[in-house]
Amino acid sequence: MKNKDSENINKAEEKNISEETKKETDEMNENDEGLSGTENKPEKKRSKAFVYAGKFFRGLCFFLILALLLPILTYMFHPKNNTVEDGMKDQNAHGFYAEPANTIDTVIIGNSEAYSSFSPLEMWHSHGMTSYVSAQGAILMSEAYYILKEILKNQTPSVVVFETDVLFPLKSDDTLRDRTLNNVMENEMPLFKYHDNWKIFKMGQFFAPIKYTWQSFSRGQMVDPSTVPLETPELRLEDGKNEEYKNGVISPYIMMYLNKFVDLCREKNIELILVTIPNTLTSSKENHEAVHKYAEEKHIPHIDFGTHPEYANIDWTMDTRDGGVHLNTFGAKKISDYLGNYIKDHYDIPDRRNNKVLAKRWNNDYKKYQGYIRYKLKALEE
Amino acid sequence: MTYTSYLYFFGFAIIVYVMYLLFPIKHRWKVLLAGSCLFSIILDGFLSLCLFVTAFSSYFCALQLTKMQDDFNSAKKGLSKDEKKELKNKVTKQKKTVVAAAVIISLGILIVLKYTNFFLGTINGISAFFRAGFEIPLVGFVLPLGISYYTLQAIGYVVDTYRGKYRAETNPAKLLLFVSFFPQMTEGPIGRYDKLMPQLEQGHRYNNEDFTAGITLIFWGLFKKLVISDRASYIATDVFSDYNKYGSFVIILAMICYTIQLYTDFSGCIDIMSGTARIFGIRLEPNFRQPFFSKSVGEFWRRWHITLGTWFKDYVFYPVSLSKPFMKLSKASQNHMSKFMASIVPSSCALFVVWLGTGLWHGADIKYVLYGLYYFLIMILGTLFEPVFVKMFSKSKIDRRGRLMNSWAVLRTLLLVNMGMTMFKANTIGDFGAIIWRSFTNFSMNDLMYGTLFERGTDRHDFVVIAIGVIIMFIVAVLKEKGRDPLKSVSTGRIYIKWPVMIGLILAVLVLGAFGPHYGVVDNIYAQF
Repeated sequence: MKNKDSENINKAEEKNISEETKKETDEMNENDEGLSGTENKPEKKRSKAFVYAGKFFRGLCFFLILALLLPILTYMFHPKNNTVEDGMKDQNAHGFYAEPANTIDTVIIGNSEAYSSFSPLEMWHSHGMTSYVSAQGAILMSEAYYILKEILKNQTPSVVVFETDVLFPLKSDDTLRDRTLNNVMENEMPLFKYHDNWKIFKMGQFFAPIKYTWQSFSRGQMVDPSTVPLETPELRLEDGKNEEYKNGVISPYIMMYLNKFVDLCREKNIELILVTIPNTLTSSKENHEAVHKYAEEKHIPHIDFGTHPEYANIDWTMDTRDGGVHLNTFGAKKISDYLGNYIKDHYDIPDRRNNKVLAKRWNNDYKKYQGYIRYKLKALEE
Repeated sequence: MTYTSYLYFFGFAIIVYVMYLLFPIKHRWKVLLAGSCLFSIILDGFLSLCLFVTAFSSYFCALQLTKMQDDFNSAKKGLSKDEKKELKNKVTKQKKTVVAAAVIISLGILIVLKYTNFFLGTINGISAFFRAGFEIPLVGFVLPLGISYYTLQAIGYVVDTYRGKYRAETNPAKLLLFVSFFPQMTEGPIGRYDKLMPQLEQGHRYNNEDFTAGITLIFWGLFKKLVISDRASYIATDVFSDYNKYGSFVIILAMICYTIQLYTDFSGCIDIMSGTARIFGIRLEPNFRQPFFSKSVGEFWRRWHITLGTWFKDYVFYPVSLSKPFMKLSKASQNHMSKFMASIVPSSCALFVVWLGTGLWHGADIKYVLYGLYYFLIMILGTLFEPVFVKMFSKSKIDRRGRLMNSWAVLRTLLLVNMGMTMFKANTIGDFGAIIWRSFTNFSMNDLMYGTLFERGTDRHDFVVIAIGVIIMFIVAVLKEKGRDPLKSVSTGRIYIKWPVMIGLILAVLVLGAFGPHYGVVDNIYAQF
């Protein structure tokens, strides 16, 4: 029964397919005749040309309609403010949108290591230096490049600090290839990035004007004063778990965008500093050396807190919030003190404390930051 | 590089298509060949060697078979009847050796790579059971993508040449193209040489209708995969991996979601591939025909993964049924059993082999063996009890072909298939039992009442999208069942129907598709076999 049924069906399908193919072949033959039509049939030749022109015109119209609809959709789903409720992913990393134009002198870019290890408010307090940490957990190098491009639309920083943990993600080359391509597409066609915002938008939000107003009081830093000590008191670089991936080798998909990142800084006359914060996940001698080698080749200063623990004297029993993967606020203060001094000593960065309006906001936020740390510590004690 | 990735569309398919159009018609098949080889190398790296070995061994064996047949045809002229018979027997034996060689090479690669650990694990299990005190370490073979599909395709080709259905391909490059054709390499449909090869080697001009039909089919496939399947995957994966946390309601919902996920994933991918091939002017074999409208499990398998079913029918069921031991069995059962049983027993034994094979084809795990045997058992029980059903219906005077009974048959098949899908998804057969047990015994609506249902990765918006998607699919399926394929009407219909539908489909995929920074890539389920 089974066989008989399926045979009948197969025959029917075969018949359909062969009929369709025949029809198509006939059409194709007709087309061929039309194309190679003899001189005796000039009218037919012209009419075929018209048909083709018509088809081409219709195809063009179709793509034009699509091309018109896409920007409209892109606008509809684009975040209307730099907050999660308004459709912006990773709110903390995008607080720079609401900073007054040309007021950020140092931009810090990286992954979770960056938002845990740098404190713009500490750098402000010590040196009157304005900075912003635009960092996202497990950020891709291509995303780091695009975020710098985005920041440079409204800010003219003199220094860009890049945290090099981004160069050694715990992922295979194939995954990095696919993710980088996805990321590039999403940044070039923002609809691909934000199309999911229909889930959170209310009716009025689709066509509301875009206005970025949310300011991060910590300037992108994740303020976390809690402590979970590293089990061994010293962080040894060879303890990193990176071996199963690539050790000391920067993936070509990362290298491509690292080079673009460096070129962008050069093009805009921005001083770039590579900073390496050690951690128990990706640190290894080979990785640190690979960054060092790259920095030397490109003549970029490289501050490596891993091979030079004396720079910041990180105490791994006190200065980490998760047993050696990320620093806590105390660790961040040590790193920021060193970095602030380094930038002040090497680059011509203005002291912005003279600008009263700006200083008022930064001082207020510094107070808020200290209050927040006290509040968190108290809550932890309780 | 999955079929839904940007890399596939923008970095591969479009480039191959443009090259295809730029080449002279006569040489266009070479572009397809180069594209297919590149595709295989990108996907499998050095493991693509398996594909080349399979293709070339099939090529040489089939060529040999045709040559033997030709030699026989020319030698038999002028021979007496007996001499002819003797020569035929001799040639058939030689031909069988050649077929066996081809099958051993192609199937051997598949078996070694796919089933070594299964065999070793079974041996270790037996050793542990009898406390034999030895354990063979497992091997770390990686399975090349698509091997389960192209191996069957190559075997089918060699066997058909043996059967004299067609002459062997003389150009090895063309045969390589047939085995490796990129749209059907990783997930099928499992093509037949006589239908596919003429289309592949014939260069196709740009054809508006093919192009529109192809694009529509691609976006329809993307709609199924990205809008429905990938959304449904989150709850299914979450619940199946930790079913102990959930009550019956969520478990049943996850079972339904998995069935939806599997169907939309597989058929969506096949649509994308058929659409891609269609743009090149090539029509792939249909692999689905509204499977969820089936009135029996047997019918379901004739509508689901059609090309696998027909492959097993042609290259396993028939040869097994016609083999000497089975003929003997058939004769013995005719002599010693009732007429009814004699008609069932031999075919059941052949079907057992088919379903064992189908189960094992899906994966090297006892779970898949039982998955195949589950369907075998249902079908056999159905056949065995058929006389009882006939009597029951004639006595109760219920119209078996009436609307009510038909609906019941469809629903019953749906439930049985859903159960099979659950077995398919569960990590082990023990998990499957536990999941089914919980779905009956642990009655709880808490997840629905407290809204925690929507915290399993699939939120309320996703459920609405899945529901709308399924309704649209249902309408399309009903129309197809009635012989009016709406997708076909889109490619051939008037502009005021064609354009809004196409634009709507494209925008639906762009806006509602589960892709972007907050979605992981969900691998195609059937590409892993």
